[in-house]
Amino acid sequence: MLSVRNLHVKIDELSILKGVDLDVADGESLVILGGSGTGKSVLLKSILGLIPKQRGTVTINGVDIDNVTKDEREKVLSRVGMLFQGGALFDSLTIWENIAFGLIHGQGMDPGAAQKIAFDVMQQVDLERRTAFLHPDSLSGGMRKRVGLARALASKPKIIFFDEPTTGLDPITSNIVNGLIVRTVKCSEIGAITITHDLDSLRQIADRVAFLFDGKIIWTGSVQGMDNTENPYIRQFIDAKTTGPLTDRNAR
Amino acid sequence: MNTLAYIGRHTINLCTSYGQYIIFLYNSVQKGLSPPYYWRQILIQLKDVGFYSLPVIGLTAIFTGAVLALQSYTGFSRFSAESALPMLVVLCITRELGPVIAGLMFAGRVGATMAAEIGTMKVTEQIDALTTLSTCSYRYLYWPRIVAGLITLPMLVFIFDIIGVLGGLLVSVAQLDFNAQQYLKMTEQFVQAEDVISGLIKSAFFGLTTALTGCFKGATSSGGSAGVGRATMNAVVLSSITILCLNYILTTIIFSK
Repeated sequence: MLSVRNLHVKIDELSILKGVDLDVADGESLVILGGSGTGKSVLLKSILGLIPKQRGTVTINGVDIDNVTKDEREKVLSRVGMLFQGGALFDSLTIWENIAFGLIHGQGMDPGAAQKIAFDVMQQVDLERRTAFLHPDSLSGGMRKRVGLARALASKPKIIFFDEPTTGLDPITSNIVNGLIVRTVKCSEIGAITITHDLDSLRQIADRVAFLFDGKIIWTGSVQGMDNTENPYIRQFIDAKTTGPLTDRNAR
Repeated sequence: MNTLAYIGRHTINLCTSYGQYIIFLYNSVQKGLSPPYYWRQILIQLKDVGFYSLPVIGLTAIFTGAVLALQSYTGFSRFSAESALPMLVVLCITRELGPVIAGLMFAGRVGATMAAEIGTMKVTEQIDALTTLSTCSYRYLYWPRIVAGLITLPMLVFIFDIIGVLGGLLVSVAQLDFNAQQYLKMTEQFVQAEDVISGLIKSAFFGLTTALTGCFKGATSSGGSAGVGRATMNAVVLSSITILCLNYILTTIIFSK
């Protein structure tokens, strides 16, 4: 469903991604693991076209998004949802307006119909109806993540990206958000790519794990495979050791 | 050699910034003029940018007119030309002080708001979120603000002109022993349509520049809250300097005949 080949991205002359390859199938949950500053968020944003890439191809549902018309590209990308790290909710709009935003402004749907869908999706992510008319600044971190998730789900995406969905949340709220992600991916049969540092979260949501280091995916496998691997990079990360190839500059 | 490299680097940076600014203007106009149109956003901006600027513009206008009358009276009385006061007040306000002072106040209030609001949206990934929700930021965010700047500043300047003249009238009647009817009659006699229109034309340019600079600086801000602060300051400084430079150029063009 989603296929990335030989993706290269530079920001301010600095090579961030140096040939990333990855695939995500329908209903599969891929978790990308990696240290801070390894380009995990850049990877998601370059797939979405928010950051320009130097080289490489991104294919979604068999469509190479760089070799189609602008309209077709927009149509394909409109079926990709994203939950941003901080939620990225629009402060000036109410919760239901945030959730229905893509439907009203992106797809031109009637606000009444969009509001109905927004209320349905709110129920799906366990948000109470009374929060619909509040503004984002009156919500807790966990609720903001749920609103972000609801907004990403409202346009019925075929694939969804989660950028550190549990960062900054307490363990209980993290579990709730993880549960929502698992339920969303499994019930809706959509593909998901999640970026996280949180190993507990990873164990709950991942079907497959990819490890990003020095601009490349250096390892992929199952959660069990990750726990049992002798790969020194993965071992250092899982065991949280301060010395090893991840922190050794010469390993790069 | 280092000096040359320094000058070269800054020249390239300056040219790059101006190039980006022109591309930003082009994209805003090109995308703003093609559907979908966000009429509600334009109306919201007209209200926020125009209507809510009225108190600031009104207060500035009344005090500008009042001080102008007081100071001019002092000067004119030295060679017994006090009767020219209404003429000076109305010409100064409509031709120069109205567009320039209202423009500078507008840059401070509206330019700063736009840069801070859009800059915050940029650093909190709200603009990226817009794109992922199939919404063009040029059409939804920038174009309504640019249109609002272009339309509302001339309206505000027209109001500034009226209130400014009234400020001059109030001081002249209350403190300088002018007759109100006589003052208004002289004002009406001296002022011509082109005096007012020239100010309105200039203010349309100032409004466009302010909104465009605010949006551009916000959209290109980076580096968290400090970056937004810098973008806001740069937007106000750049808009204000541009207004003063443009004022000179436009005055030269409009009044060259």
